[in-house]
Amino acid sequence: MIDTREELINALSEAAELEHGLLVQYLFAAFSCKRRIDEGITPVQQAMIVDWERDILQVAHQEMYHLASVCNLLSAIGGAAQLARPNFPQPMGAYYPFDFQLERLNDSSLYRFIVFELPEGEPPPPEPEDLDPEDGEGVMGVLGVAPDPLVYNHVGELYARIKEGFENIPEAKLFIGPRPYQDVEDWGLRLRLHVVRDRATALRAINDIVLEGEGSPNAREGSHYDRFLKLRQALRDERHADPRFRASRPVVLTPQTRRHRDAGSGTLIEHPVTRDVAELFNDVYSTMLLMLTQYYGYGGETVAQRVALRDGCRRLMSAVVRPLAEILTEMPVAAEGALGNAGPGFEIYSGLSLAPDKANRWVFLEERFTREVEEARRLAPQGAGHPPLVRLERLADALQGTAANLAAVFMQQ
Amino acid sequence: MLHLRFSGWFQCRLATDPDPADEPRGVTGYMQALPDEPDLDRVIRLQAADGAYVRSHVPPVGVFVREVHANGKRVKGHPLNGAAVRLLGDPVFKGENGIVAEDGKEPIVPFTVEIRADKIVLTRRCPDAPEFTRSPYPGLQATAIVIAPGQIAAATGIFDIRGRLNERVARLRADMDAEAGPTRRDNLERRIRLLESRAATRFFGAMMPYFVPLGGEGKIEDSAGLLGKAPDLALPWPIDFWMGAWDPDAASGFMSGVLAIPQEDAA
Repeated sequence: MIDTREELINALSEAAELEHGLLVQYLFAAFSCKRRIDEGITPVQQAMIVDWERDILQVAHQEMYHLASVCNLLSAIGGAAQLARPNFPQPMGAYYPFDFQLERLNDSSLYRFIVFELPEGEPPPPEPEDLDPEDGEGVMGVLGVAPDPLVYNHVGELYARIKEGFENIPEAKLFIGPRPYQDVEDWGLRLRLHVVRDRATALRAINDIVLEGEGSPNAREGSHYDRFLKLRQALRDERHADPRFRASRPVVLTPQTRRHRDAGSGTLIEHPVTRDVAELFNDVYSTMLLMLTQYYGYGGETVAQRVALRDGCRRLMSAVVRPLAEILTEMPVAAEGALGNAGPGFEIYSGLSLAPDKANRWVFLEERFTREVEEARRLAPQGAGHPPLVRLERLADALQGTAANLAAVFMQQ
Repeated sequence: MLHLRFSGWFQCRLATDPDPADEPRGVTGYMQALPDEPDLDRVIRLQAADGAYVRSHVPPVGVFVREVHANGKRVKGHPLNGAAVRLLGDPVFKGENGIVAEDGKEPIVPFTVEIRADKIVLTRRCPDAPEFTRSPYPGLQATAIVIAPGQIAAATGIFDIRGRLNERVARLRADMDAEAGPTRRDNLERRIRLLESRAATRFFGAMMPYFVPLGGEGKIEDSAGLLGKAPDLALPWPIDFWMGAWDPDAASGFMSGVLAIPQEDAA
């Protein structure tokens, strides 16, 4: 039972890690989707896959909002935003009661997504029905440690405990966080964030998160659970109608540029150019997390600086992170090129600690951007051998533009 | 001094935020390439013949000179009347998800205007200065986002956009009834869904004004001397115009403006 501030902060930190981990898995599946007719799909299937990708990305956007809500809950009770998380893969039980890994869009990944969002009392989904030779050992790996939804916890259970914590701890002493230190932005996604100031607003925020994930017993429509169920059914129907149909590129399970002390073994990227692009992706992703940590840190940044950090993050996500991820899903994972494609590993190479001095935080970010722009420009000419890399010049410009926009605000101070 | 008043529908099949600017099909933004349609390419086309992909039952693409004024007086039979207006070099709205410019203020990059009539071609580029050639291109950005539904209605002749789109939906439904192919049917269903949504009319009443003093390299082809006094390339040619009346199904908007062309003294 949660009945102290520390226990509640720990549980909320776990929830933040969980939401972060879920949304990255959803993004990975979405970015693996096929896009072109020359990838063996018909025009109608192409449009259908775009619909599915959009659905998954919308769920991922809501998970971002859940993460922001949890950061607000943490802030309200005097805790700090939690944007760190362990690397992938995380076998069930190591960190979470789930099997966390990065897997392309297929029946197996959708099965896991439904399990993540499974409402209490709902029957578990049927296990992945087919072992596609193209899915290879990736799917086998999932089945080997596949969570049994009847036995293992789901996301809603964690929030039920957090809710108990907010109910158990005396309200008068719990809410010590300064109210202005909360995120009230919609991040351009028309999402609604709660300001948490007391028990009622905290419970409302938690309730919204659970409702969006699971729906309510009589109204699952539109919940993440419902959307993934429908998506899985649509994918299965299309596979039955067209047995050769594959919605996603042959992306390997949990691509990694190196082994991590805090994670299990994924698929090592051996192709040198692909590995360089993957490292660039991971670097930009970590830069974005640092900016978010600074945004949620309320460490003396002005309103204009916080707006610049928020806008910078949002724009990096669209203009750099997603295109880089898409590029990686078309790059070979091994030198021979026959073992499948890579993908965005969302690897965190070192801690995401923020410099205590405000001026140094900008220097740190500026150095990262400079390095990333140089690396993108160095890799761009290799597009002759790897067509997806033609997008890198544009990404380098976007990184440079983001740095310039931040500099315009941070250098004024 | 010549003043050319031009107007007409342009096309720009572009991905919209939060899709990346180079997204080819449209996933999370509200603009999409539908089954059997070419990829989105973001290029602003003022003439259908320049590679526009035109869906059925949408306004025809084409921006033309509608009036010519010489020294303040309208000249009805002027050789530039009806001339085609183009932006050369495959220009795009270069917002880059807000990194270069906010939505609605995107600069048009590159910016070279061509006026092409029978036996006359006038071309002029924006100045070769950093504010026009380097990101964030402040000299090429829209000056504001203006909500001006009345002005747009007067310019386009469309005073009831919802009614106009409903008529298009009716035509598409009739097409669907006659259509058996799954790809075409899917395409039509998706168009109808967009046209019936609020997104279809959301930006129709908004416009983006631009003002660019065309002062860069220019070229004049008038071998027959139809213009009389030659356009003066030593002076800037100011162009001001607005783009608005966005129709997402047509990936098309209306453009209206005036190009002022100083002329050399006859002496």
